[in-house]
Amino acid sequence: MTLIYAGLSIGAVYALVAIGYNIVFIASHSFNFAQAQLMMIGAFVAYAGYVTFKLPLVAVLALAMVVVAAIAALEERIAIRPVSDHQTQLITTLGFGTVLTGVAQLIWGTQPKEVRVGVEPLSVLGGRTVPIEIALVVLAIALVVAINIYTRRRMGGLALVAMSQDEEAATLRGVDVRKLAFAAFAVTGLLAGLMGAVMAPRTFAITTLGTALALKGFVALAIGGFGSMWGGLIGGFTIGLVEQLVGRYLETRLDAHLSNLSIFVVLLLVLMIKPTGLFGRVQERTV
Amino acid sequence: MKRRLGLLVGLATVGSLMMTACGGNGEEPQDGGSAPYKIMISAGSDAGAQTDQLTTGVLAARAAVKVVNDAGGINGKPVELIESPDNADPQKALSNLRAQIAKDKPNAYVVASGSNVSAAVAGILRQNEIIFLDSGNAADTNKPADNPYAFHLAAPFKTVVEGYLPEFEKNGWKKIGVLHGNSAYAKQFGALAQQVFTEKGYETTVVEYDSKALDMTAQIQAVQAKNPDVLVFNGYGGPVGLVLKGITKLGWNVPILGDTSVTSTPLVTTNPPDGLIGTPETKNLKIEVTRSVNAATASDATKKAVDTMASMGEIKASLNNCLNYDAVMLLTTAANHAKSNDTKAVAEALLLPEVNTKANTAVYDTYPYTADNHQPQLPVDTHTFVAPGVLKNGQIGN
Repeated sequence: MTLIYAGLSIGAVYALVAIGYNIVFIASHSFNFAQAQLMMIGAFVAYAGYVTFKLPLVAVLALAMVVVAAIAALEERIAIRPVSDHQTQLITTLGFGTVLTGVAQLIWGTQPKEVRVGVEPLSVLGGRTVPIEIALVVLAIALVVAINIYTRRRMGGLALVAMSQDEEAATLRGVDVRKLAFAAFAVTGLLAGLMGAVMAPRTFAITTLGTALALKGFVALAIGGFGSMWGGLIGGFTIGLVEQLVGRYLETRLDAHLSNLSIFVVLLLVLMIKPTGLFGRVQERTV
Repeated sequence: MKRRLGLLVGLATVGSLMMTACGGNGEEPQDGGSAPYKIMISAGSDAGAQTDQLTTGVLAARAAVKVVNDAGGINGKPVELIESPDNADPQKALSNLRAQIAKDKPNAYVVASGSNVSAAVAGILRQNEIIFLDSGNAADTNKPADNPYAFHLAAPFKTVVEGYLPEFEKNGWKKIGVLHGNSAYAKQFGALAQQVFTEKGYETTVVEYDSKALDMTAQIQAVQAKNPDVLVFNGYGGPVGLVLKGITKLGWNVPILGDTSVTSTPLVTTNPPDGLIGTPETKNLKIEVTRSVNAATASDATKKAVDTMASMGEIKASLNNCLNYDAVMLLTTAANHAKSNDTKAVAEALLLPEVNTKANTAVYDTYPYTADNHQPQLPVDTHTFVAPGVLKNGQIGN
């Protein structure tokens, strides 16, 4: 059970990155490659709030959300809006992520920072875990449920889906596409701040976090299917569990990369069977 | 007229040759003229996760240069430290070294972080007959047959690994678990630990983890399943915290011996809230230190080095990263002993016990090199194990 808990909790972290990618993808059909770095900043803001300023936990979460939302809004203005095509946005967001890593290094240094919340071990159903691992899994599932409800039942959410399906048609129906894309970016930042703050006690706040998360978050999304929140969640959990099980039972001293390799084997298998990912949909248009 | 001119030229030539031959005496250096002794260092201010190691290594070299120059320099001439702002990037380091050789060839070269730069520059240093004191311990800088002017500074892996044996014996541990990362250093550590411990009759289980991973539960459980008496653990930076947290989460109550790279991680040498000293994560942890890192066992030469460095800047990493202090002291003693700045003469002098045991070095007391092995043959008690403590000025217990 311990391995299952560990796999699900680290999988939840990958899923949270994938959720961030997905929101921007749905809104603008581009990828925000700075998403993992935004979460890294969230982790550092949590460290500053909790350790440096000794703020209460709720205030720390709020601070992380506000700061990262502001940074994400800035990113939309300087790395997304001035760039017309999505391919170039991949480069500009990647560059923005690199800048964020550099700034974090300058402010907080290169060594890991401890955010000691919810790390007291406990036994659950014969396995060992810590409260923050459970919180991460709950947060990831709750976010996916909330986003799904929002996109199906609220006008803003429906407008977002309309925009993702056909930007021109959505504009003709009165949706302010530019404003909505900006809002999606800011909301992604808000969530990245929350995710980073919750993740920090599990992973430490460290500048290499962005690099460590970016690729696996993307693979989680590819396994689950681009545009699908449930897909991102299942993809994240799949990666986390595969990593742990391979690391425990198949890996030998000679190849610590086997667990990484196994993730890509799973990705290949999924894409061979279902090229759009587990929950991805093919959009068909009559011409 | 032509005969007189020829006679004059001939006399002038013979005269100048005689003056050159008589100019030197036994007390003066045979070369170098009025030029300073030039030591080039791979330096900078940002090497990512290795920044603290880099800046500390540079500070150590600067401090040693100050000490040497205050004492009169090398063969009566000042020492000049040429800093290459390459941030431990091998390509930049190589490019800067080439440019420096073209402009003004340095007498010696040192590195401040990791072995990547060492591996990149070793060849060109060999070609240009520049002495190389390598704190990165690159694979090809300790073999005189390949490179007669290159010497390792850091303790050989074997010395580091054999340092565990007295601890095993003292505590009666028979089953050893080894958990290590997958960097080049960590892989060598793991391989040698398995070889040495197994040869000595210990039942050894070795498991490697991915240093970039964010969870090591699976790998920790793989070692735990073998129920070892003690866990030998290698890691640097974030992975150190992740492994210690993982062990605590599993409730695994096992003695842990961290290697010197664990010691270099500020997380285990800093008090909460930034660090883990006094937390359940470090309850069973002991870290491997050289006698110089332990303030209680440090020599007078170490104290002098620490005081000088502290007066010039912040010592951010452990004293293990100050091998360049020793490099400058060794070069000085060797060149002064040889009464020459010539690379071959300095390299030969470094092999002499009267040089490598009396250089007032800070990290290790001696650097016993031999003609066929340019690794310092350090005694087995070079390292000890201490409980994690606050690292101040590169030392624990300061």
